[in-house]
Amino acid sequence: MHKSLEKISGSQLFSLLFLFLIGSAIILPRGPVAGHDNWIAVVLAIGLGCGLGWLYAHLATQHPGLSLIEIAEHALGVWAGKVIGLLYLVYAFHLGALVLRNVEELTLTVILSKTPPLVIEATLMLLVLWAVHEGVEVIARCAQLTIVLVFFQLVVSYLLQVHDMEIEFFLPLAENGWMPIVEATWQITTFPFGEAVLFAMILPALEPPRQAKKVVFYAMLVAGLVLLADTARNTLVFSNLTAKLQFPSFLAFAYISVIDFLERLEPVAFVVWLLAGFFKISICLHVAAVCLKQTVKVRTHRPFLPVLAILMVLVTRWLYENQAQMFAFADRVWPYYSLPFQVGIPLLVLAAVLVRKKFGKEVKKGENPDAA
Amino acid sequence: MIFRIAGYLLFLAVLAWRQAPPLYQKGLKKELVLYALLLGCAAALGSLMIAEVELTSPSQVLQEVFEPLHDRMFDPNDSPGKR
Repeated sequence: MHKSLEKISGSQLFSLLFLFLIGSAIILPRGPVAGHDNWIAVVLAIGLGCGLGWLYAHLATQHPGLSLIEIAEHALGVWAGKVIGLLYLVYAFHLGALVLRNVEELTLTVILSKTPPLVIEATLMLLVLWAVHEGVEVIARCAQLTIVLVFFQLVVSYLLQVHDMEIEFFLPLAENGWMPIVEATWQITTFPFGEAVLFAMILPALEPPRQAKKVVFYAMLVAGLVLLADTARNTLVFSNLTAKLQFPSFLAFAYISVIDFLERLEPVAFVVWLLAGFFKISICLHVAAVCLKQTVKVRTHRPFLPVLAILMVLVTRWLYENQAQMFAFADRVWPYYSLPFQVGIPLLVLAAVLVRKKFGKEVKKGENPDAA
Repeated sequence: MIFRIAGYLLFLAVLAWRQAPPLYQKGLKKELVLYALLLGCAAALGSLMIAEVELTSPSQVLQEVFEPLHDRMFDPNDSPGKR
């Protein structure tokens, strides 16, 4: 089978995964159900997310050069591997469409309210298509340049907003009990941390492969801390109102006012979030194409990219009728729908690998799964 | 509406005209079949959407399946009603 020759370094993987996790998560409210306690949920979700990251990286380091689909094919059989490949194709494609819709809704709401949604989606998708066509190496190099901007916008917002923050807004802790915090933790674990399962298709490109666990852990941790800082800032500025806002981080930037001179800084944050969204959609499209390639066993995925991109834009238009549906889906459907992809299938594959190992049949790169 | 659908299909035809011949020349038959399948899906879905035919969205289907699960585990009056 033709193997991809693309290779990315540890720092490139870190940048990619970091921006992927920040992607749409920094745009939307995180764990709104927990109200002003949502920062506790973020802390708990960072721990769970690191655990999930370990699971994905463990599978990758145990089978260097193989994606989750290829490992599943070897461990569970060819047809089970194909079914899993198709499932992840749908998942990656769907996630890409959801993120594109998130970015489009933000753009329509705050910047380009009179622009037809299709124009925003098509323009962004053209850039995504170009980047994905160039390969994961190019996307990763772009990510290395962009990552600094995320820290920059966060530091700027803290520096300029410190006088608007009220530390009492964190209190009382667990005002409505722990159940909303548990629910919010689940929401935040599945969005964005568990979505890193898509990197199980990118980790084979990491050189050297033994760095996977360390890089994934640090990317999860740092992205989690950035999301925590962002969530905490929103709570410190808006208190319980954060749960009722559509785009609280954007509004926090709009709230910045220093001696009536330094104002209207939200476009700076918007551009950074747009870039993060661009990377997330790029990864989703790349992984969907790779899943297609590995499931159907074709030589290259590049000819399918334009058609997949067109389909992604169409599905984005088809997903929701309004913004309320988008938020309801993120809060009440995504945590349950994504659980089998993020936890179930990787655990099943790990269990199958362990069973095969016990009976002396290790999965190795280049092995013919048909013979298994 | 017919002109918009025709324009969209023409766009897809141009795309296929640019992309399909190299696949055929290299003898990549499986790729060609898959490409035609995906292009067919894009043509059908796009045409239906331009024609404003009401299609049940995948999110709606997933919502029907998973929302009762949420309501059983947590307070059904939680988000997004809070918004």
